[in-house]
Amino acid sequence: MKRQFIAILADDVPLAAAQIGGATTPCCVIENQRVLCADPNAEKLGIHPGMSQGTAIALSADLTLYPRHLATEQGLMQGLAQWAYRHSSWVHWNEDCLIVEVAGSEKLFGGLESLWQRLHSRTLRHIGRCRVALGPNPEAAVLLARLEWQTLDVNQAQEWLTKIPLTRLPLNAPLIQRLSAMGLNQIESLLAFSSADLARRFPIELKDYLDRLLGRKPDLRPTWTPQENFHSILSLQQACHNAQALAFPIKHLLDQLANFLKTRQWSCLEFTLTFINEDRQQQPLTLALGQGLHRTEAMIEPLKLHLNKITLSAPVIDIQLTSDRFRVWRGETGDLMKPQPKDTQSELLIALQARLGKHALQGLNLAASWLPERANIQQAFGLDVQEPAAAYDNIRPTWLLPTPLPMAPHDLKTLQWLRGPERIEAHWWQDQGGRRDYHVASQSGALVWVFKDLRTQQWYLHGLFG
Amino acid sequence: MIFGQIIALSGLTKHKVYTVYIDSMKSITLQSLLDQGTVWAGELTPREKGRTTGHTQLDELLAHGGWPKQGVVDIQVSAPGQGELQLLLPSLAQADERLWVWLDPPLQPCAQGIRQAGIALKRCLILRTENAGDALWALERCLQSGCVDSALAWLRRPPNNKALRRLQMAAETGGTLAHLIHDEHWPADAGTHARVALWPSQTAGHLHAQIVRQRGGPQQRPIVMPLLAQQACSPPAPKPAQLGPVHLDPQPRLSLQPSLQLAL
Repeated sequence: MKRQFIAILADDVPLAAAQIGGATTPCCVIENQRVLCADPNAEKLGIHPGMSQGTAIALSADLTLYPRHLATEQGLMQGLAQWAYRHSSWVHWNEDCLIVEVAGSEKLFGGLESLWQRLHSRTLRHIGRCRVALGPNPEAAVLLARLEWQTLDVNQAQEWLTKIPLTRLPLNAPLIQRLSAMGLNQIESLLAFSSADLARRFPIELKDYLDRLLGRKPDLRPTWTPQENFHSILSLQQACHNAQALAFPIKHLLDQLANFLKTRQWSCLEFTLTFINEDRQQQPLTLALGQGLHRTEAMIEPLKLHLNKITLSAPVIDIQLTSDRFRVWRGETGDLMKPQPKDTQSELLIALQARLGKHALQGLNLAASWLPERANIQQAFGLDVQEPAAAYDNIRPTWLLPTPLPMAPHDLKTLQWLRGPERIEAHWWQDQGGRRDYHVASQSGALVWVFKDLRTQQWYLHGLFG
Repeated sequence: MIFGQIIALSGLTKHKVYTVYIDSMKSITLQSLLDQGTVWAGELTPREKGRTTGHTQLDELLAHGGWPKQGVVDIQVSAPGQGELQLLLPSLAQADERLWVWLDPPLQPCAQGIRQAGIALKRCLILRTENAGDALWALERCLQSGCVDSALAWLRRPPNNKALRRLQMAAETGGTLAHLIHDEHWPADAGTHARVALWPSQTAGHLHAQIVRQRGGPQQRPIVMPLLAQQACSPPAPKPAQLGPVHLDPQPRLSLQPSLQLAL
């Protein structure tokens, strides 16, 4: 099968990175004192890429300039590559360009056109304006995208390759000048040379590039492979002092994480946010997600509760999100006939834990012991619970005092005995063991559970039938 | 909000006009209004069945034949241990697999006792909060989540009308029943579905219960109910097999065969 590649040149990546960080319109991104990228409103004011910074400011007073954030841009491109990996196993990305092999998955996604549309609309939505083209090999696809020569027929693209003007090739300027001085205008004219001739007359990079463009040499770009861990960083345009206000930019990071999880059918058990201030000092915030979450909306709630509790030690300029604890996602199927609950049990537990703290959630469990205070335990909620199959015969109260309460002799006189004794003798091989006779009694109407310690003859109150 | 008038017919002779405010987002039927208990419907029967309380006497007195399916009920007891759990446990034992939340219980619940009442321990979630605000938030969050069957809350102070209204809304969203357990210092007119007052009886192991106020039904006279524990306190006839206290002992029960004990 003949391979086909779609290249996407995402021109607006610097702008998208600035907007995630909180840029306002009209704006443009500046690198080396020159405009790298301008948003549509800025373009209406006559600001174009390549213009100097001074000219741009002179044209409009409202314009805001932002420095370029390469790390955020890379995060965006990587997110796009990750999404594209669902469509193809051959994906390559660099700063502004994504290349996807599409011949292999053409049938699966209902034809080349729909695949093209998917890639195009995703890029439009998540990054911004882009140029897309199809080519017989990665290099050709990139070049055709740069020229905006678009076709859905790969043979047509192959034919077009020879018609490309040499001035548009991404080669160094002196070489291009030299070629045009020699009267060579199109790639066609270079093909008249034998390859030995080409290598002798021109610098080697021309032959090299030509070979890759025409598919004579294999393209050795590294393909992207999915990572095992999630890591993404976001730079804010303005330092942020308020922890609650960080929820909005963090949502972009969580969207990336959710996408990462979705492609792997994983749920995240824990993630760490690191807030980095201008002095590169880090303030980490780790969120445990219980049984695991995989949707952005579900992760936002505990995050907001945590953000309400923390104070930032210094204004934050970078936010980093990392996670390396995952689990296979287990879907829960709701009952079709019943009203759908607002959230799942694990979402509720995570929210409660986020606001009330780790130790606020407790559950009940039984332990193998004869002494009631050891048999009935409270533990962190969610741990395994041992449920005996058969009910037991001896009556037990519903409230248990953590430590038995000594009873005065006159208290005993008010008791009305109902049932007993039930002897419990345990831990006699240890010092803290006991020999006790338990009774159910009524004390002014309420039922109580009392025992007599047979070693000290002292009476204790141990439980209430509340 | 829409503004509507509903005419409830009582028999064939009298009719009354009620004015109700209805959330226009929901589909409204007469039945849904009656189910909410916001309209008094005279002798209209049958009503939607509530959750049975497990006590026949009490079921007969409650307007829905039991606790409401969803909503907030408050229970007044003077001190913990007066029978509040005994009142509630039978209805909970019949509930579905959803969680049962205990918010700030005053004492430690005894796992063996809860298990004896037929409740799965893994359903019990005990929440400990540090202040009244957290407690109200947690209760509301649990009620509206839809994965909680019922909640039992000991609030530090009576919630104001706004907070109670929020709890009611949350309970209706999540299909949850909440029991607020409190002492006699709460205001008498708390806007809950019903208030049940409990106090111990002079007869040992019995309990006085009175429905002080309920939606869609009249106040009732106090009744005397036997506590569950009292029923379990039937004449003790200890057989050797009953002496083994716990269920979970890793060793086999030794007390079954006297001959074996002799051999040991």
